[in-house]
Amino acid sequence: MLRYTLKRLAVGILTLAALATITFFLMKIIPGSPFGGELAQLSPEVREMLYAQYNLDKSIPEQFLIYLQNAVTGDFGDSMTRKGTAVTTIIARCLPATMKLGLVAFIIAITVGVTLGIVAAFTKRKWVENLVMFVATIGISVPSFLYAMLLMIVFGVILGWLPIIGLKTPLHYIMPAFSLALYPISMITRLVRSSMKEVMKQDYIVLARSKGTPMIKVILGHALKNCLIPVVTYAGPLLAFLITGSFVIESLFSIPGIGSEFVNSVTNRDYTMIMALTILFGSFIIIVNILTDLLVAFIDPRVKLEKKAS
Amino acid sequence: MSLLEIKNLTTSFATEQGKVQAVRGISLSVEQGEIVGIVGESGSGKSQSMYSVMGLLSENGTIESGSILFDGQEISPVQFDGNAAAYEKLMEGIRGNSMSMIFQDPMSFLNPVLTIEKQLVEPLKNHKKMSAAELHQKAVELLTQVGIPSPEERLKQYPHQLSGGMRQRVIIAIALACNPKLIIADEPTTALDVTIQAKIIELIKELKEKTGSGVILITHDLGVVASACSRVYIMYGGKIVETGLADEIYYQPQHPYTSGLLACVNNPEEDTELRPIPGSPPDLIKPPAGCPFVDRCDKAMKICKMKMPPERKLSDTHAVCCWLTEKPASGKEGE
Amino acid sequence: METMETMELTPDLFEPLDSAEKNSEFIAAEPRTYLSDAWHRFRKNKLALCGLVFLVIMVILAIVVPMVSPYTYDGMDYSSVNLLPCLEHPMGTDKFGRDILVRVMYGARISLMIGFSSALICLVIGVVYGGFSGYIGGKTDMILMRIVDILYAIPNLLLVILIMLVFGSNVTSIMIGICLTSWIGMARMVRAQVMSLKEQEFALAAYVLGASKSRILFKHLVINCMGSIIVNVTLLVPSAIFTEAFLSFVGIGISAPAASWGTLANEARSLIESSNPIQIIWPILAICLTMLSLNFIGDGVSDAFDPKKK
Repeated sequence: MLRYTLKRLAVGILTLAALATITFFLMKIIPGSPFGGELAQLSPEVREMLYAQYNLDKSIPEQFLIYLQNAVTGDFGDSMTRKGTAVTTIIARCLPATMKLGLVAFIIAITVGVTLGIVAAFTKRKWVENLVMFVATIGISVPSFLYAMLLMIVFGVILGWLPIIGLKTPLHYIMPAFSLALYPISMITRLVRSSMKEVMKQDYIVLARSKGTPMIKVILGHALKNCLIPVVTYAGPLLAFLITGSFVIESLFSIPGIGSEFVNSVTNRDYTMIMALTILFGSFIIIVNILTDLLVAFIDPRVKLEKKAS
Repeated sequence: MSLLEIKNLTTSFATEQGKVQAVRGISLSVEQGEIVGIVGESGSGKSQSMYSVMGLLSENGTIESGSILFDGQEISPVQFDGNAAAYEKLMEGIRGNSMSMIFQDPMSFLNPVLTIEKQLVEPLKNHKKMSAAELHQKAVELLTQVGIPSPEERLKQYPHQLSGGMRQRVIIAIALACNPKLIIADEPTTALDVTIQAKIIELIKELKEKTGSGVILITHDLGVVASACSRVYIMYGGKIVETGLADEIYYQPQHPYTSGLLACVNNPEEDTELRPIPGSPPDLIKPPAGCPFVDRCDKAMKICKMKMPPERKLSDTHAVCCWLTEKPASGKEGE
Repeated sequence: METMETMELTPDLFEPLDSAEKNSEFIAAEPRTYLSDAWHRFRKNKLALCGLVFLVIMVILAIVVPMVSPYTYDGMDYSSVNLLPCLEHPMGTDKFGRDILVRVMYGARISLMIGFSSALICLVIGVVYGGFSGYIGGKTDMILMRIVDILYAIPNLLLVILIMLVFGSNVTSIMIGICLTSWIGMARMVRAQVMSLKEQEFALAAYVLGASKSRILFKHLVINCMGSIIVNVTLLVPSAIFTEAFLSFVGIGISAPAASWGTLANEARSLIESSNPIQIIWPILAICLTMLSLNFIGDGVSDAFDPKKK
């Protein structure tokens, strides 16, 4: 188990290095400059100073080496658009809001999704199942910015019950968290229902029932664990996606999070910021992927970790 | 009083193509301490009739009519008249306790994500009040009883770490856990190697001797029946077409289907050719009005197509449903 | 039946039955090919069929409307701004006097094209890559799969954004970005299926009969996992459309005056509190109904190809 985790981490670091390299050289071939129009108005001396500050006067391979050296020590450089501020400072400022919102949305998505999925799978009333499934299909058909806008109009503008800007109080979390969670809720509901129905048809459920085990215990003790395997495989990447932020929801609700920061840095061509965020997102995904695989192996004893790693 | 007495059991399944009448009014009985064989090819309704008794039909299956008297108690869902919860409650108390089932495929009937111990002690947890230590003790005993070496280790393992024969033994151990009065063994050897098959049959016989339970052995293999059963029911197309003591079935088969089945068994003493029965079982969505075997029978007569033959008792134990035995003495040319 | 009971048993009834009167080999169902069988089951699903009809109408409208309409997607007309739906402008006009119907249909072209072509590209890359990896196995497989693992660790929206930074905000770069990450799921699925299929007897039989490797791979193995491949494609289309809509909505996708559904929703965003909110309805309706149809079709297709539903 430990050996496997270390092995995966090593592969993960290699992956990150590859990601950083690709992103770095991609940045270099992008047309346009972060200093944009203001560059022309600067005196040659100031321009040189600026270039030297960001090592832009050196050759590209040299720049890359310097970047890697600094990155290893945790120095990802200064933001190019907000001069003098280290990108790590900006990230440290933006990340907590995003992560808190993401976690709330994640918890909502899992609990509501699994519950609805089980309800849809076991209800004796056909119309309940059909209704849940229809709503869930609408849920995966409507882009989250539309829910967000709808919620904002209804609860924020018309009813005025909920605040629509920022993340100051728990009340502020409700609308953005639900806008973020609606798509995954629908996805998990569908996943749990179909997986549950599949599992309940398995022979080992018949054997469990033949022991005189009550249905509710058959479902919770025998079926749920099997049915969770596909859910976990979906939930892992979902967590990574949610805690790295949805730029759409953050920009709509004016939340100063990492997602909107990323969109800003893209539109402003803030290369150091883009680099740092790419590496950050990449590491999140790698860690979550490892955790997902460990969790699946924990649930399903048939999965052999060592074999997969080699 | 018989241990199990089934009368006119009818079971059907709702499918997209229509209603499949899998079991069409069968009657049979099992005494305490005897092994009874139910023989038929796949699709003859032999497994589904026993799933009906256990109340383990899949969701689209229903018992339409009939009575099932088990140990003096009526356990057919028909009497509950739609009260599924009450029926389920009754059966939960019986299943795994006084009546249990050994299943066909050791690969798919064990839950892959639970340990052997957890699955083995479940019937005990359901029906007996036992402490954790007692449960463990009993689990070790059960595994030893079915001949699994080093049971302590096996209990901690998961199904995929065991061989097929081993898993089949675990399934048998689960069925035996609460010393049931009736054990229904649904093709317990089909998925196994021939050498292990013989061992499993021996095991079932041994256990019957020890516990005195009644056993129903469902199989398509008359060879297995010969070595284990005292009485045999032959099923075809959802009906019982012949029944008798094992010897009667072997030496005086009356139904052409029984003869056909016997011709499929390789007899090492006589150097006869194996003869498969041509054709396939009838379509049970539109069950035939007459004898279900008529289309494959080489002795078929006009009446066979029109009407189901009545049951004819040949001795106290031997009965058959075939128009050949009803045939008036004059019409001899059909032979 | 009642008359049968009282039927007299005359000797002629015991005459042997003609073999012609027996139907010993009855055929339970009409023989159908794999695809027509799936189509037959798909047709029974009403929602999926509605989805298909809607999608076909949408495609036809998207092609025809901009061709026959007297207006263009960027033709401004300040004499008729913010018109309500009327005879000349069935969906009204926006604040620049542009015909909304034409713009929505033009958006449909972009969105549907991105959806379908990227699904098609992913299909080809995924099947070829996964097929070869699974079929050849060994070291080749290991190297190919490590590459996939690295790509898998890159958040796909991030990659799309990076690609767009390099190649500019246009349809092609969005498509490249989507394709770069989306084929991975397909490749993994095909590889896993090919790996298990190639061990089966029919593949060996084809090999013994002297079929070439590529023939075995594509004519025998890939055909056998066609069901899963088609199901996977029906999931790729809506997810590609979503990706584009998100990007355009935050303003880093297709930019004005070109109009994708995301761009239109973004433009409409400012109109939430304005006097003419009906303008928002059209692009929203278009995207939601199309996504809903695609998802219903996807459900229908996966049910139709589910071997257990036969």
